Amino acid sequence: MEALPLRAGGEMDSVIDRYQDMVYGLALTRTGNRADADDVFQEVFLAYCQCGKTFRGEEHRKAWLLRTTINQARRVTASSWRQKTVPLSEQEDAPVQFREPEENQVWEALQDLTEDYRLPIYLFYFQELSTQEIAKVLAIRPGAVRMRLTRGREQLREMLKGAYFDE
Amino acid sequence: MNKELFSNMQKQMAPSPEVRAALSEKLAQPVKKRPVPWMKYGAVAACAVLAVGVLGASQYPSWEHILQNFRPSILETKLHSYVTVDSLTGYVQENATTATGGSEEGDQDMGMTPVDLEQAMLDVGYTQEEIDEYQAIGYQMTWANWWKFVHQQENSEGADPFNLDSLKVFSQKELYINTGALPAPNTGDLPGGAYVGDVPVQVGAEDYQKLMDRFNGTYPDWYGGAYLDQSGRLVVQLVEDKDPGDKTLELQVLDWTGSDTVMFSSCKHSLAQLHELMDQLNALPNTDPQCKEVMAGWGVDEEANHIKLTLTQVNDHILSVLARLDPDDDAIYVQVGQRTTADVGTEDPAVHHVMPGGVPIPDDEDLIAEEPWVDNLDGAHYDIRDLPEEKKPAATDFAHEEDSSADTSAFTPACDPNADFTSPKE
Repeated sequence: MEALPLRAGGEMDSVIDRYQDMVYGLALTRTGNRADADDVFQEVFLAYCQCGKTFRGEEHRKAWLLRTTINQARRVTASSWRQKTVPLSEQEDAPVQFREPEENQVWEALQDLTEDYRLPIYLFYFQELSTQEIAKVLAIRPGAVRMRLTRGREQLREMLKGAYFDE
Repeated sequence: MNKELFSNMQKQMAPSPEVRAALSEKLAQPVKKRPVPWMKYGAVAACAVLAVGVLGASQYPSWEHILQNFRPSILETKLHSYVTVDSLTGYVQENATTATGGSEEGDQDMGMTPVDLEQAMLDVGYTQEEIDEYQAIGYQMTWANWWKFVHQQENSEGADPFNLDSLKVFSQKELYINTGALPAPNTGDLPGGAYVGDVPVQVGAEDYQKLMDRFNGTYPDWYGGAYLDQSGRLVVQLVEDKDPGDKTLELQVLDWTGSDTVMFSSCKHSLAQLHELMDQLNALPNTDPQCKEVMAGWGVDEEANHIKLTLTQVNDHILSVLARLDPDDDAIYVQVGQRTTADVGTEDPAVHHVMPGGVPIPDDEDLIAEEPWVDNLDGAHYDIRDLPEEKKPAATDFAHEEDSSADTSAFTPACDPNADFTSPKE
C-alpha cells in the first residue's frame, strides 16, 4: 500500500481513492439515501482538506474519517431544514438499489435496524473493523459493541430468516 | 459466501463519478474566508444609534454628562491615611532618628541640652542652685522623660511636687528601667545611694557602633534599622523579604558585633528605603509650597520601622502626595495636630484612628462609667432622686439586691433616700 502524507490536505486524490468507499458506505448506511450520502461524502473530505491536521498514522486517519462521517451524517439527518422539506423528485428519496435481490433484502433488513445496531453491524461486517476499533469510532465501550452486535444479529436473523451474519 | 456478499454490496456503495467530480471541483477552489456577518454588525450599530437617540431626546443626561459623573470616581485620587492628635506635645524633629541614639540624626532625638534642661526646670519652679546640683549629677535627661516627670508630679498630692529629691528619684528609676543599672552603694548623693554619674555603658551601644562601622554609611537591603530595648540591648531589624531564614544574617551580625546579646526582629522596610523616602520628604517643602505650609516635622522611627510625619493641618493635596510616595500606606505614619504648650506629660497623645480619607472615629462615650453630676449638690450629700434618669449609674440597679447593711459600696447609702452619703474615708 502506498504511503500517504500524514499531513491532511496533501495528495487528496490518493486519499479519496483509498477511503471513498468506506466514507460513502458509512454515510449511506447512516442516512439511508444517496442524496444525503453524497453531501456527507463531500463534506467529510472538504473538512479533511481544511483541518490541517497531522495524523499519527494510517489508523488514526481512518478513525478520524469514520468519526467525521458519523458526525456529518448526524448533522445532515438532524437538521431542521431537512426535516421540514420534501424532496422535489422521487429519485432524490429513492431507496438504494443493489444488483442482486439478496443484496437488496440484506440492505433493507439492515436499514430496519436502529442506528445503535446498524452502525456496529456495518463497521464489523462490511468494513471488517474489530470491536476495539468500532468502540473507538463510536466512543463506546468494547463490551457495548459486542452486545450491540449480538442483538443486531438476532434481529437480522429474525428478519432475513437465515444466518447471513455469522458470529 | 457472506463475505463475498458484503464485499459486493460495499463495491456498490461508492460515490457516483459526478459526486466525485463535484468534490474535486470544490477542493480545487481556494478556501473561502468566513463571511463577515455585516447584518449582525449592522443590527448592533442600529440598536446603539437608537439608544443614543432615545437618551439624547429624553430628559436623561447625555453620555457626556454620564461620563463626567463617572470620571471622578474612576480617577479618584488615592489619599494617605493619618491620625489626628488632640494635644501634640511630643514632637518629631526634622531629620530625626529615634531610639538608637547612635546615628548622626539620632543624637538630636529626644535629647535635651543642658540649656533646655535648665530652662525647663526654671519653668516649673526649680531654683538655680537646684538646677546646678542636678546637672552636676550627669544624668542625661530626655524630653520624653522630662514631660513624663512633669506630668507625674502635677498629678501628685504633695505640696511641692517639683523638688530636687523627687527629680533625682525619678532619674534613678528611669535609669534603672532603661539600662538595668542597679544603684551603686554609697557612691553618690542620689537617694538610695546610687550615683547616676557612674552609669555603666549601655550594653547595646557598643554593639550598635560596631554595626555602624561595618555598614560605613551604606545600609544593606536586609537591614531595617536597630534600636535599644528596655534593658539596653541592641535589637536589629531584618527585612522580611530579604531574610533567607537560615540564620545567616543573624550569624553575620553577631559575628560583626562580637556580642551574644544582640536580638533580632523582622520588619517590612529597609532602612535604605526609609532614608530614600526621607530624601523625598526633605525635598518636598522646596518643591511644593502647599506641602511646606503644613509639614511640621518628620523623621525615621527605626523601632516602628516607618517615618513619622507631623502635619499642622491636613488637606487632600498633601495626602495625595504622600499616597504617591507611600502607596502601601505603611511607610509614613502621619499625625495631624496643632502643637500645644507642653503642660502635660508625654503619655501617648489621644489618637483617633482615621480611615483613609480623614474621617475620625469618635470616641465611645461610656455612660455607665460617668459619675452622676448635679449642680445643686454639695459633693458630700446627694439624693438618688436628683440623678438624671438616663445617666443613672448601673451599680444602683444592683444595689437593691445587695444587703443594705453592707457599707462597702459607695452607692449603697444612695439607695435609701433618707440616708446620708458617707464617704469611705469617713
